[in-house]
Amino acid sequence: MQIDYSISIDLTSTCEATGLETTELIEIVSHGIIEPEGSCPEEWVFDIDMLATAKRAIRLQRDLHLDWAAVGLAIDLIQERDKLADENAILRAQLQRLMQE
Amino acid sequence: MEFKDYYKVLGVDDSADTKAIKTAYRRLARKYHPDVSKEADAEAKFKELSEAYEVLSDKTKRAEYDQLKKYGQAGQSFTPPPDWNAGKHSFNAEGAEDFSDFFANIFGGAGGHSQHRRRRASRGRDIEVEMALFLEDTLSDEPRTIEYSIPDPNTGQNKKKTLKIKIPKGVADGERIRLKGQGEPSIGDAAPGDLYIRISFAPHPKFDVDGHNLILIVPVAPWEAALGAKIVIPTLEGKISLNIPAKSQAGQKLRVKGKGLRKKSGQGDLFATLKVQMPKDYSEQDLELWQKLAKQSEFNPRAQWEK
Repeated sequence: MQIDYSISIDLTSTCEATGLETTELIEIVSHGIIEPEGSCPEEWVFDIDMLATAKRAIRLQRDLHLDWAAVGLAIDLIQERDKLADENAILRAQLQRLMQE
Repeated sequence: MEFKDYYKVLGVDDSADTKAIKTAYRRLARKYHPDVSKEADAEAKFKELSEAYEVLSDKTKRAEYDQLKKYGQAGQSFTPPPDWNAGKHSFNAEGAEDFSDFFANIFGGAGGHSQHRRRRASRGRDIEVEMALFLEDTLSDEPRTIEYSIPDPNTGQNKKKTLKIKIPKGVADGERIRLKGQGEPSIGDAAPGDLYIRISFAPHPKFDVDGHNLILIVPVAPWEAALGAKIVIPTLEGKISLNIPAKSQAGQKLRVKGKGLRKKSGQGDLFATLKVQMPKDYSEQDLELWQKLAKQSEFNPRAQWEK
């Protein structure tokens, strides 16, 4: 069976895949929450991680009644927290290896 | 059907005004939102909150709910009065298909199982499955079999599905692979949902992962660090020999090129971090040699404290 890994996705397909309206996706991009390649909406190219972030953004906006600036801030902080948690996990694992006999 | 106490879910009094309900919802929603929360049951909790808020924030729905509440109590089996007309509402809030049977029975077909979904033609839902990979697996080109179950929106039954996929080169921990159209089937002419495979690396007994590089803690004897040595270390692709330079320090990193994880093109590196390991047991002769060294050496490991 042929599998489409779909790594680069245009605006229309991104809206289809995320269930977002074009205007919502444009808001998300204009707040720098995701940064597709390309200089205008017709040329934008999204990747899989951006899809996940866009979906997360719209959920936060709707469920927590946030404006887009707050969504951007929340997502930055969540990503920062996840990054620190990952780093912490690596450091902990290494520390344990260094301490054990 | 179990009666749901929406006031209790939001932790407010039944006399609470709209403003208090909104505040309670917002506070709890921030705490349990699945995108923010690390709580184990966040998703279920959040659905409950949304359902409660959907009802209590709407004057008409709240009035009807209050009327019903006289008949039922939380946790008890509940049947709406016979003259209750659930069909009178037209309801299509975002995500309402996840609401409970209790909600569906009071406010019409929106909640519960297939009733609502069958009504409108819609794109199938996306499915996300996790695929655990051993680090060794990421180096292989063998296609992997993945099994997942998809609910059929027309019957409500779960169907098992198997796919063979090739893991793309250079995949990272936590990365998603999207398989277009392999998610939940649609209703009518709409497109099926997509399948997202989330890659999750299993912890390795020897190696830690840092991007596309691997870190290996290498225990060495004090004299190996001092005099240098040629030792054998493991890599994901078998053993190799490594030169420990003379006068090495604990914590020193030695880079072994190209023995890390795969990148989109090329391969990351392996960093061997030296750990000077002291012996556990000492023979008489060992101790004599250490004593000799102790007498003779001018090394002061705490010199920096004396500045």
